[in-house]
Amino acid sequence: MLKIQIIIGTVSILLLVTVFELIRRGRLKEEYSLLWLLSGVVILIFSIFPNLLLIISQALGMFYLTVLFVISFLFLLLIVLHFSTVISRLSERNKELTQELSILGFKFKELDKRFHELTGESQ
Amino acid sequence: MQDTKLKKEYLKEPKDFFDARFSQYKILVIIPAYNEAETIGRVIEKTQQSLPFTDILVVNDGSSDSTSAISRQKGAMVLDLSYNLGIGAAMQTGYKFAYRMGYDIAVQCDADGQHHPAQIKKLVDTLTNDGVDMVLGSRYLRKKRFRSDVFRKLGVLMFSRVLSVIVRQRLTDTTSGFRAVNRELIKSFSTFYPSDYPEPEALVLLHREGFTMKEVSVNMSSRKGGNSSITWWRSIYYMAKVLLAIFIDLCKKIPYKKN
Repeated sequence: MLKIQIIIGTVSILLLVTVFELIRRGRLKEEYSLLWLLSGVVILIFSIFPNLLLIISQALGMFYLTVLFVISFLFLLLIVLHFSTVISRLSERNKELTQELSILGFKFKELDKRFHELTGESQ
Repeated sequence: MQDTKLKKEYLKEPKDFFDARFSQYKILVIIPAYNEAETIGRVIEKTQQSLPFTDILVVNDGSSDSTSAISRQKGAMVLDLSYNLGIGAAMQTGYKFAYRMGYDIAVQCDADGQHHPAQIKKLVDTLTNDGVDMVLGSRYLRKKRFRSDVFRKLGVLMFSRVLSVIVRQRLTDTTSGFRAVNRELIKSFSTFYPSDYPEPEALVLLHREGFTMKEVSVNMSSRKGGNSSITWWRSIYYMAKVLLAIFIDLCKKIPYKKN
């Protein structure tokens, strides 16, 4: 039990430190790091209080490790789902910017044409 | 913005009363085009000949050929998208442009030559006379044979049945991209326009938003150039995906409400 506790504890601390460091260096936005931090904290709690996991595993009738995997899986699922929504939002904004750019490009060319007509310069 | 030579010629001698009445509206013909250099020139020319009063906007959806240059040379306004956004987003770009530039009516027409610009008059006339928000050009409204394969026919039949039930009105050609819409609908489409299968999805959307529509019969020719986005062996897969998209549309929050 102690061995697992140490492994899991180390993993969660590594995760938390990595996420924190990424935020500190500005390579990860706080907005997208919340779920990572939350999963790190939850894993840490389970490694400090292994009885918690034992209680859950007994209540659900699963093995200790299985419960651990199920919980990690749920968190990963949440993180991936969150990423999907982020990607959707980004592609929507990207589309809007591209549309805007094409309309501005058109207006610019029209103005440019008028300008050259007025000044009599060749383009 | 459109070259005014044709307009001047036309004003000297209006051909009939219909056309004179036509001129009171500011009309934009939107032609989304993706690698349609072969046919786009002809489509623009025909539109200019039959409708000298309208402005023509080509939305170049990231083409790698000379679609944009040919359109410009023929005197159409051109919006160049930086990369291929897909037909839905390209159409929406046209609607955004139409809304900002204050057009009363927008007509969408394919660049591949399957829609006849001469029939745009028919669409616009129905739109202004019948007080509907959208007029659809249907090739199946009159019982005329349209050359098409079995799977496609089956798909067309299924879509029209399903959509007729949803919008509570008989529709025959739900995938037709030959449409005319009024100012209110231009506004709605510039706020939100479906991107996956825009033709059938837009019908569900505008029905839920409280808009009205009507079909008129038009002739269409089979495609002259380019490749259809639907090949026959993909028809069934396409049908399933469109039906799924339609059912999702039924559950979506309404992005706009008709005043």
